[in-house]
Amino acid sequence: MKNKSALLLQVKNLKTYFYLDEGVLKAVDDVSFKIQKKMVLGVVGESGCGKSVTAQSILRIVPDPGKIVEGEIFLHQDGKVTDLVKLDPYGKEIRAIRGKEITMIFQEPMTSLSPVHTIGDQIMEAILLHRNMNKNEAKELTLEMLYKVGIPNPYQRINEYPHQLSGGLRQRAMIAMALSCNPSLLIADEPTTALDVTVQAQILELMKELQAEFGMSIMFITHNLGVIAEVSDEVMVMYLGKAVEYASVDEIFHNPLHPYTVRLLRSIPKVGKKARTRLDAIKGTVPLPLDLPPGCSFYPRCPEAKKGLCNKEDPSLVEVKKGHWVSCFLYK
Amino acid sequence: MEKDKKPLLEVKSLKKYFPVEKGFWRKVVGYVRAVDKVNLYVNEGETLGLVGESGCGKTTLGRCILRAIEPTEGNILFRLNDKVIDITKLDKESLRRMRRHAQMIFQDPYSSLDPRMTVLDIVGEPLVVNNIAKGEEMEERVKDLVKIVGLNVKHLKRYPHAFSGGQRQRIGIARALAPNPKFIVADEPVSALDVSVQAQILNLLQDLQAEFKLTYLFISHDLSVIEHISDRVAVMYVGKIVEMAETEELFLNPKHPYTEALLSAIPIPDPRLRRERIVLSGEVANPANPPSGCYFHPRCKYAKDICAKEEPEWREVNPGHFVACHFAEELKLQGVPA
Repeated sequence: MKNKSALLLQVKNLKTYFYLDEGVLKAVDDVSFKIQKKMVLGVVGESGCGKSVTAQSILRIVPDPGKIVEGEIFLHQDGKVTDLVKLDPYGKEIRAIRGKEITMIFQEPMTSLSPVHTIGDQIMEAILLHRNMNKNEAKELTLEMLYKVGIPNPYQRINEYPHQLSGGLRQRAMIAMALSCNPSLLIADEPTTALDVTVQAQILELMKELQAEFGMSIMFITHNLGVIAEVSDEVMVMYLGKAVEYASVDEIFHNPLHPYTVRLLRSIPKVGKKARTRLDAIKGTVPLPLDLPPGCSFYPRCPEAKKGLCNKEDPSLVEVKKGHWVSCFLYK
Repeated sequence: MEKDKKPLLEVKSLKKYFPVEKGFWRKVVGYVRAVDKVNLYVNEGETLGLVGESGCGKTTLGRCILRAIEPTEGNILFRLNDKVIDITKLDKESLRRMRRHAQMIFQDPYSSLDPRMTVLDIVGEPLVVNNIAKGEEMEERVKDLVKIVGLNVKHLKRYPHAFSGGQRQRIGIARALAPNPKFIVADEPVSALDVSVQAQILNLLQDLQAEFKLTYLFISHDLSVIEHISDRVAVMYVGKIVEMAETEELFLNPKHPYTEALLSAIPIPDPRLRRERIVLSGEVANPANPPSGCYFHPRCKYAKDICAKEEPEWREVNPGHFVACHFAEELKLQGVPA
């Protein structure tokens, strides 16, 4: 990339493995990507492809028995570069970053908010921890944030518990908490998956508005291709712990190269296309990423697989066109 | 598509009110109007898509139609061998006999199958219960069914936990098909599945429909799936059907403001088609304490005085296009980009 100053986060050859009794589960296997300032990186893939573990690795909150075994995660802040992998996951430095520089919102706001604390207390906790403010200032800011995320009647809501809010309002409260410390990167892990379409539309609009206002970068994780098309600047498609394709959103949807991306796009019903025809489904299911055989992980399901090549060697991610990366032997 | 235009199922002002009880004496203090004066019909051999947001009563409606939940009021007319029977009037025994013609597929393939039954037991049970087949004959029939839905016959002795989500959904479908039904209520059958598996199940459902001349009531919150699979679509909001029309007509030419908002909220998988959308303000109305007049009026940008006062009439504005809105004839609403 030519504009070096705009780089915010660079992940290089990240490998996060889970050491289970059954074997080694390679949740994230040699993944590299960059997030520029004020950009939205969409990460798309089916369940078990490692998109959430990638996010957890960045925040260093990979649950046991998972471990980052290799790789670097560089966070660029004010000319300073920190390798997050080298930090102690319980140490002071990562705590100053987690919840302040990098924040996260989750899929199910009911389970990720504390049920025994009020919304206001939970948001204030983050502010008091990371910003130099006293209680009154923190409360003022909390009210302002609740107002900004469009929660009606913030003076009343600040004293309410999560169970008193609807799903959409809870997600708004979570966004308020994540943005209260002015982060440079917001990781959104399936933030609209549990919501109804009209509420999803509200939340997506809200996130766009807030991004324009706060200027943070977003790593947007979802399995919904429609949502990805709507919010992303760049897209990374993941399959079984690997990035199979990585390009601008327009390239991914209008010039997809990897057989998995091509098939995934063909397999979804599209509104307005009318044709009551059969969908072009991908055969088989995603295997468990446990003790995988060598070769391309999509080999068993790929219609264009070449025996003797694709099941022997692992294709690496190569740039086939400026800014368009793909890992497939078809493009060597 | 050559289709029989006779309705197989007709639902007439169906109501399901759940009582809200309070205090030690469980005094009834109100009702949740889960299904509120619903009218609809499903023609033989077609798929009626039922779409709505969570809590709108679509599952309750689907279950009331099969009387898995007792409806409070109304009629459900089902045509069987050219005789029309009212499901709401059947006694226990005739209902049991009738059920083999109307089956259900559930959303969650993880909790809807008994973990202690093998595939053979699960798929064979409806055959035994309905006295269709038993013993070896039953086993043969189960083998056929399992093949039809695309599972391996060798796996008959396995338990549900040994299968993936998509495979489990196939087991659920095989069970529903077992008594050779005419009508299937499919309640969010693909919502819990991954994108690539979702396509496989949708294809399977369409193939089965063609092969066995099935009629579906397909319940989903996903508008793209609904558009893909349905011949006609009914849109539900707070216990009421607000619009019903042929799929293409409803998506291109909606007549109810709620349908318009729903369509505009669908994220389209094409970055070149990012569009201005109608973002609904406020929240879905509470079915225990619904607003006056039209239930949608507090969120409707076209609402006028009459909307808060009078409930709009359910009427046919164009042939086959039903809608409940005071201004259905006047409003120019936007559908999805064609």
